Amino acid sequence: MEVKELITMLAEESGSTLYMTLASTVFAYLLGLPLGVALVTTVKGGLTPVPLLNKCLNFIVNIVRSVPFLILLIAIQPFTRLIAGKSYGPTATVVPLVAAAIPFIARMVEASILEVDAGVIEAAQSMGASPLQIIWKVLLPEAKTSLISGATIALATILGYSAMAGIVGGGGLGDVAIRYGYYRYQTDIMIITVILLIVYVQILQAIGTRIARATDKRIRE
Amino acid sequence: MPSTVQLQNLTKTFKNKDDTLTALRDINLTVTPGDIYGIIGMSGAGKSTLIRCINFLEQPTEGTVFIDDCDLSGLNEKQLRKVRKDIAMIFQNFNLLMQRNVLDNVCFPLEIAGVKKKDARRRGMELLEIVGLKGKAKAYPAQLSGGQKQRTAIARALAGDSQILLCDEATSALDPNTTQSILQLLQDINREFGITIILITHEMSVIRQICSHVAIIEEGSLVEQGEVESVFNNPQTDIARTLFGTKGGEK
Repeated sequence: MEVKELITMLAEESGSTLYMTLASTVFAYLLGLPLGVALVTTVKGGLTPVPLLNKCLNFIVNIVRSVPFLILLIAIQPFTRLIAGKSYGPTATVVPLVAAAIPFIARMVEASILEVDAGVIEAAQSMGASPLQIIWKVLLPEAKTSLISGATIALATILGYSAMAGIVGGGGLGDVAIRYGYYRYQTDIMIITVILLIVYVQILQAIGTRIARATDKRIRE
Repeated sequence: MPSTVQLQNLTKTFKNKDDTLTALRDINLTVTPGDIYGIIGMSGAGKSTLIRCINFLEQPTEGTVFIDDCDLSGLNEKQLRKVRKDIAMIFQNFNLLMQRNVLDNVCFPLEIAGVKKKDARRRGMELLEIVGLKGKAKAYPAQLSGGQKQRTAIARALAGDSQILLCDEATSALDPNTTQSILQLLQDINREFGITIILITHEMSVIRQICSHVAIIEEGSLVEQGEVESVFNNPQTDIARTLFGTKGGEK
């Protein structure tokens, strides 16, 4: 393969990887964030206690969390086809990525929200704030820094997962690494893709850390 | 309109699997409008539970609380939230929103009540002026001293035009000088706006300095209550004498 060809391919597949990662993260947060909030608030003695629902949610989250991504990826292929119309390519890969990321994100959101000082929640209750107001105006804003750090971890994890999807023709850099590096023994191409993946994770992490720090008002100037 | 607070046969028990803890036992207390009512006791006596029962953050197991003619035990969650908007509260650890600046913290109860942002901000600035923090409107809680944090919390408590202010060990985390200035501020607020203040503390000096009435709580029961002077000059119980430092009758 010519160098020019290689560069074009790596650029394209980088785009696919980024697309899968970002799209999956966005969709997974749309469901994972409310789920994480619900895990905290529905607990017995919580803001909106529904202990039975809480037990069910915990159970489901734990089940999905226990399935290795590679197995999940293959196991839900019929579902993926149902949603995306096919089971290969970047867009189809978003489906299993979202499925795997939702419970993972929910757990991280849960941990972030649990960090919010109980006294602040009590203060809001003493002012007559409703549970919904407390979630929107206290829990999420006060947990903001931790949520952003969590989102950064989620992005890096999902990027890694997206590479795994290469095994079923998921597209992106992982796909390249498997096709060229594994099946065709072109170790050099594999090394390049791995380096690219490392660089992308580093960039995401650096951006995430910077945003988290810039928005945190707890730090004295 | 200033409000009367009445606690009737208030009992609170905490149950777990094999233990029942009686935190409050048959508490009866009437606070009339404009009082600064201090409730004093050792740690673990039930002070925190008691003050949280007044706005039903803790549901009493038996008995009830009347705010004027309103029986809190007869209200549902939504009605309770409405009543709580009229009962402000400040805390030992201030409980400010750390990601909001001082002005936005003060405006928070107004925001919850659905007041327009512009009106809320104007009111917020007025309140900051009252508590002497006008220059700190844009500062974040992490940049404030303990006294400034409590002033912010007091401004926030005043924002809802409440007629009752509950103080949960409001000066216990502050140094003696700051304590003095916060107590002075509470007294000014009481005089100027006629707000009824109910405070809990373990420090006799707080009672002596600003309270008109005092109740002494021991192991969940009120053992003495009345005007500060009369209770202080004629303590009936050992716990009162211990707290007042007048054991055995001598000063």
